[in-house]
Amino acid sequence: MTTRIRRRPVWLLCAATLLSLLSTAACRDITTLQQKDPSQLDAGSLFVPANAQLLVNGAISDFECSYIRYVVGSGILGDELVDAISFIANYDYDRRTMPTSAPYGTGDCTSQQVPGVYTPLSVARASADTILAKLEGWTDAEVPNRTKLIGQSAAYAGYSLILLGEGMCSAAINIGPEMTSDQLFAEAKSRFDKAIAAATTAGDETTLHFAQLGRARAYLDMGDLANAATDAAEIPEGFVVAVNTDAADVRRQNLVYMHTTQGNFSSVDPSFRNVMWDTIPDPRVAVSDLGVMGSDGHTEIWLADKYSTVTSPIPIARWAEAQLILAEAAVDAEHLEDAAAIINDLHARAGIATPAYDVTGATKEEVLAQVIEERRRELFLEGHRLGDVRRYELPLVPAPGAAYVSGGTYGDQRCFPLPDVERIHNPNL
Amino acid sequence: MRILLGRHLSGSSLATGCLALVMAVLSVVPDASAQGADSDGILTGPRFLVALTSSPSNTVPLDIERAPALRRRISLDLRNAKVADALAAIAARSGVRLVYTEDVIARTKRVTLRADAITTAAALTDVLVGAGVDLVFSGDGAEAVLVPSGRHAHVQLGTIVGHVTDSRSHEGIPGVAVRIEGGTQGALTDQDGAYRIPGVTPATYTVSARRIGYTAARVQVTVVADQDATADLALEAAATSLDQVVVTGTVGAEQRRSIGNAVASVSAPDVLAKSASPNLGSLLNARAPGVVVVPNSGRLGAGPNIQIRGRSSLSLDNSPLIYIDGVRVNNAVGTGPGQQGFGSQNADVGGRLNDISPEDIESIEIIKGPAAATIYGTEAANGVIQIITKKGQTGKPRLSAQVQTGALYFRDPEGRVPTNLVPDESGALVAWNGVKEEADRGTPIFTNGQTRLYNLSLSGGLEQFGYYLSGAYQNDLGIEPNNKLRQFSSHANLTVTPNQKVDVGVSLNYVDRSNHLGADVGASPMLGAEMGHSLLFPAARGFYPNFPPEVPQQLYDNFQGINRFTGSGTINHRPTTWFSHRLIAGVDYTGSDSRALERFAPPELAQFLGPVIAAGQIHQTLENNTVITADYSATARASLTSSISSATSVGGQFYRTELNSSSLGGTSFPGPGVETVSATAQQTNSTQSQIINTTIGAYFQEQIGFDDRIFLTGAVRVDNNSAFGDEFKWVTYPKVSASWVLSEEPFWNFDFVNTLKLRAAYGESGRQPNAFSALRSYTPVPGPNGTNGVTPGSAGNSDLKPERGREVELGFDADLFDRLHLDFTYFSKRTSDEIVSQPVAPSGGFPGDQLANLGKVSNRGIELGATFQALRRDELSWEITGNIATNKDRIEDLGGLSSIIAPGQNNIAGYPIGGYFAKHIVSAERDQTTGGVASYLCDGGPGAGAVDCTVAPLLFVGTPTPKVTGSIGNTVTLFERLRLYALVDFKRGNTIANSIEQFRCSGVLGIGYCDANYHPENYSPAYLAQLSPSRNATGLNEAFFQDASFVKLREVSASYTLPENWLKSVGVSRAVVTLAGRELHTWTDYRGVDPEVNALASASNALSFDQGVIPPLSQLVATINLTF
Repeated sequence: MTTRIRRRPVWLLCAATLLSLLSTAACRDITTLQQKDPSQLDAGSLFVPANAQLLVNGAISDFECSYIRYVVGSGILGDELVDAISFIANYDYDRRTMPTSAPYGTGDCTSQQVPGVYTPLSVARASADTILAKLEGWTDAEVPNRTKLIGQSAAYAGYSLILLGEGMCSAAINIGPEMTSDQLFAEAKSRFDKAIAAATTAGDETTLHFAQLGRARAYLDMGDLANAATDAAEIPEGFVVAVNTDAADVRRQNLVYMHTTQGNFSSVDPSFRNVMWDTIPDPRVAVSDLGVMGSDGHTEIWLADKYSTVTSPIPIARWAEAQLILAEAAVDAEHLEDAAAIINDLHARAGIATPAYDVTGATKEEVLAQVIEERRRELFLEGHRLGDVRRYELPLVPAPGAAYVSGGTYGDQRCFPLPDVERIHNPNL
Repeated sequence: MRILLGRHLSGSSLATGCLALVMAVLSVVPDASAQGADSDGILTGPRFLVALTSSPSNTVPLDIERAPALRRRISLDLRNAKVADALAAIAARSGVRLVYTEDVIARTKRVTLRADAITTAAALTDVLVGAGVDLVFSGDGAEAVLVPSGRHAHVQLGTIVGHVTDSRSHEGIPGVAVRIEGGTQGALTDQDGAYRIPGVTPATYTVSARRIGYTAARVQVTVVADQDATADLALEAAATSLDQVVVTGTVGAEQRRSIGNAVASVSAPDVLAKSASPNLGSLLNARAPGVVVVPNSGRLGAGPNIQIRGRSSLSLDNSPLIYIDGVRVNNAVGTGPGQQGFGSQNADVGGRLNDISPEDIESIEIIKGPAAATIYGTEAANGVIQIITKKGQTGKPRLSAQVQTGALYFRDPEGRVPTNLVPDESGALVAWNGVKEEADRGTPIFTNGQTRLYNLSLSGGLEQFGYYLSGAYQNDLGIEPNNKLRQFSSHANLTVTPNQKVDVGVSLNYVDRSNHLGADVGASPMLGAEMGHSLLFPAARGFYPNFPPEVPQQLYDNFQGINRFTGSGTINHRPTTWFSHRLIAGVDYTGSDSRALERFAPPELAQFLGPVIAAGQIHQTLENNTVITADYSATARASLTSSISSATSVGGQFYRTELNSSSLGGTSFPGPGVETVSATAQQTNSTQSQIINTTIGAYFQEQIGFDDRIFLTGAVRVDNNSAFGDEFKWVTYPKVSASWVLSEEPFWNFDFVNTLKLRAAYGESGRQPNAFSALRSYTPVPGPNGTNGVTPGSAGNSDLKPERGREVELGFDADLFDRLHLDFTYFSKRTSDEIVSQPVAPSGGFPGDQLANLGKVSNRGIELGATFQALRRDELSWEITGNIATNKDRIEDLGGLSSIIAPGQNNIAGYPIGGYFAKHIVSAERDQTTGGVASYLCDGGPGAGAVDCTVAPLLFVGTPTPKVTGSIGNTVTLFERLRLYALVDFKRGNTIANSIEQFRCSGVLGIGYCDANYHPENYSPAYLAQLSPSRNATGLNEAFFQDASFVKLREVSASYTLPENWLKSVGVSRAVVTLAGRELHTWTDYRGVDPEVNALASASNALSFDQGVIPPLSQLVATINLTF
């Protein structure tokens, strides 16, 4: 009997080995198909307790960048800066005729010539709120200084909401419904409440006063002058929190300096040139004529002396602001002499003690007007003026309808309208 | 006793057949060799004979190919069975009637045989091995009588020998695969076309010969023991023919007859013999319908954009994939240095396609879209170009040498670069033409460049080993001193065939390229001449923006150095007649050093520049790009019935692309001659990035053939790509296709139709998102007080998936009247899930946009290729080739995104990708006193009539993508020695932005330069109304979006093959001298320098913009090709 046993040829073995090798390699790579960008941090693994400080730093950095842009953007829409470049988007800021599709809505933290307002503030608010919620979920064992960090992130979230409330006609947060300025101020107050509680527990004096002054500003914006005064009174003399700018990073450069002196995109508004107290130039609004023409060919560039370099710090909150809140509350309470004392103290510190401001015979309205004027000068290019113009319903200069030098006429916008980018892409609007 | 076994086959169902086949593949049981030949050639099995008359004694060997019953596959499970029982089982399963008397198998032993899907012939051989029995079959093979063999020992084997020749030239064709049909044995022809297949069992066989570019031929041969049987074959050269083998878009090598989609193929040696194409881009241009090569710039080293069937992606790369010998390679376009100090300096124009030396290419195959590219999966929706390199042939070493030299020049620069008019103080117009002024001065801006190419190749091989080795050196000088190209490339291709079942190929390619790219746009002399005038820029001899040509020509150096290695290995294994598989693995590595250098200016040039700029600057980008490919496929073929065949394939691919890039830079060199970053006073712009993209995919394909005339193919491809979002893992692409060789049907009786194949295909494939676009990520930023912070970077989209192309292709291939070949295709493609950038609501906390799969784009058109042999005599032949293709792309949907139309190019639903939009003037009145425009009105849109232009809407003007493209080539050969050739190609229906005319005539620099500015009465008031920069800015500039249609005399050549007897004494076997010209004339209404320029070249945008770009250069080249 013959039995033929078939030889298993070598090729079969080879093919099987090859196939298994190939599939092993392939399977391993299926698992590594997860891609990773080495220049970025992955959102999925970023929010861990070990990164708490990094994320709070990030939230502060986002606020600082948005604040720098807000100072310039609100300065041009308001009456602190004037356009100096022939570019339609810049005209619209200055002319108070911004369409809701304009770059104030979409420009991000790298925007310079046309500074973004809504996107940087929204990102800053969200960054701070996001890490705040994470910190509240973590434990003290996981995160050193957790309470202090809660205080910081809540305070910066509050300031973002203050600026959204003062600068935007309306806004949304967390893809939510449209909110009025008052609703935004109420949100801001709740953040400051949280910040004050946390900073008190943590013994973090700076954040405590920063949040107290922020809450005072929120009360002021809501018309609650008594509570505003209570918080403002807590601010110690000389207190200041400022953006520490740096020369290299576009997010942190002093954009007022860059926009005026470097870019020739804008100039100090004529109403802030040569502002006097009696016969003395008011040093708080010292400006210099740089003797160069803006890119539009007809606007002379003036520089605000307080921001004479790319690294000049920009104050966010300081003692003088608290004093002016106290002055305003004093006027409201008809304590006009108290208001005058505060104003004279601030004058003395600025070197314009004489002649002293005298409220003898002055009406409440007249003293309030002086407080507003003091705010205009003291807080020049510190992100307050647009909110004041809106809150006090100050007359717009030049008046709406007046001819704009580069074409068209002035509009009547006192705040940035909710931009298309939010209205179209937020499903809750 | 006479025993009758068997049953009549009732016909097997397809499903059963498929199942059996799948079983066969899964069990991987080796087949028994049909004739039972051992490796030492000793045969112990039965002979298969056929009776010539009714007597079984008068027999000849049976051709098993002609006996379907013997090729039918059966399964057996015999354990220690009697031979009689075994025969009964075989008869029952195969349907073959077996007749024998018991005494014939009396001395047989019991057998054991277990096999799946074994052929009947093999089963009979196994059962009857050593039995001393032969089988004498009836003519149809359905019945056999077992007879004593009359010989009980070993049978001697025979040999098949022969020559394969070209049917027209009668010269031997090397490298032809000659194969015994239905078996594993075969051979490759040597240098002279000779082949030899030893060890063949005596029988009658059909021998076939196949080679790319030729029609397959078959011949019958009867092999007799111990003798050489001669089978000579003559192959007919064919541009496209049903039996031509293609490898692109198919699982393995496949005949055209079975392919349901269009595959274009270009024979590189044929094209090069006529056209002297300097690079791959020009080699591809105008060869295949629907394949559009856009040169962008005439600078040496500029790479083209290639679009197949137009554009179909709104935001991603529209370039096809490029493969070399089965391995995917870097197909980047728009690379290289592009940044400069004194003014923007154009998009980057380097392209990796042109690294490949045309001389090393055997053929190029192109598949054009998802219908054909399904098995390539994600990334293949733009089509695939496969480059097949030259391989060695068996035979004596053959040495070929080529020397090419010639001139490059800017044809008629004084006529094509505009002459500008500016009035002098007296108001008299002064004409200024920068090109002419400089030429008259003795310092011409553009000189004649030159090209020199030396190429040497050696090929040959032994019986089991073939080699092709080549080296090429190219040294070209452009028309400006800062534009040069020097390239050394070498190529080695080795083929080893250890036995007839295995072949192994290795392809190695190395390129060292040094390219000084010159400069366009920005401060280039070209733009300087286009925008200059001696009265406006007197200090710079008239050149805009106030520096003469020598400043950019001497100070700008845009350099790109390339080191590129492409290597691949291919193993083909055919273990049995029915199973084959293949593995390809390879790597393509590109190391590049791109430097945008602006030198420290010597005093004579520094006077034109500010001190900062005069101190120079440099930006350097170092990149290394690696593409790794592994590709496995296996195919099992089976005859399900005598007329139905099946091919089942599975395969898998793995691709990994890694791009590492770092760039650095600095400004202000300390002095002349210093050109490094570290020497600069201020170092800037240091960045680093790493991008890795991985694809893994697998496919299954089943092809059923009916009578070798109708083929149905179905395939499914699944893959995953690392750029997909986390929520989206695997994508599946189906494909079905059918081809029907109608002309081979028995009922077909139109004699003038030699062949006619109808084909239809539907397929899908994709285009992956850009790396990282799915990821939600945070960017490191400086935090307060020198700390680290992070900020929300990209919102990402975890649902991001590939753009999906779905395409239907219908068409036919036909050969008519023995001289006309036609190749027609209609295609309709819909791309959905187009990746569109969509803003996100900022209140969510992420700035900017998010990519989402929103849009839909459609493309449709027809393609026709034709070859007509008008005359075919020995003393005179005339061949006309032509192709024409149409393409219409339309954005069907943008997913509800608000589309605000801005002046210029926009993506708007209902219009082509990148459509031009402008206001359209419907009426304009002339001011009779000044001759200028007095008033004008614009089209107010549908139903709105004429309106004031300030409120008029922007209306569609045109598309940047040509609607019709094509070419016509003529080749006339006299006495088989002198060949004359000319190629004309054209593009129609596309629009280009003529920014130069707009700038000159609108007076962007404050003054108009054009005749229209000074003689308005000669121009239409509607045109005059558009000569205003402020009106242009609001979209009143339709006049400058101009039709870029053209016809070009692209290639002309004459080549002469020297008589052989002149050469013998010097050892040269063949010598050809060719004189060729390129780019010799353009017919166009376009008013700019050239309708093919584009200042903003990139694979992912649809911009078409003429501004200061060197046009494609004309060339005159002489070439000598020698073969030793």
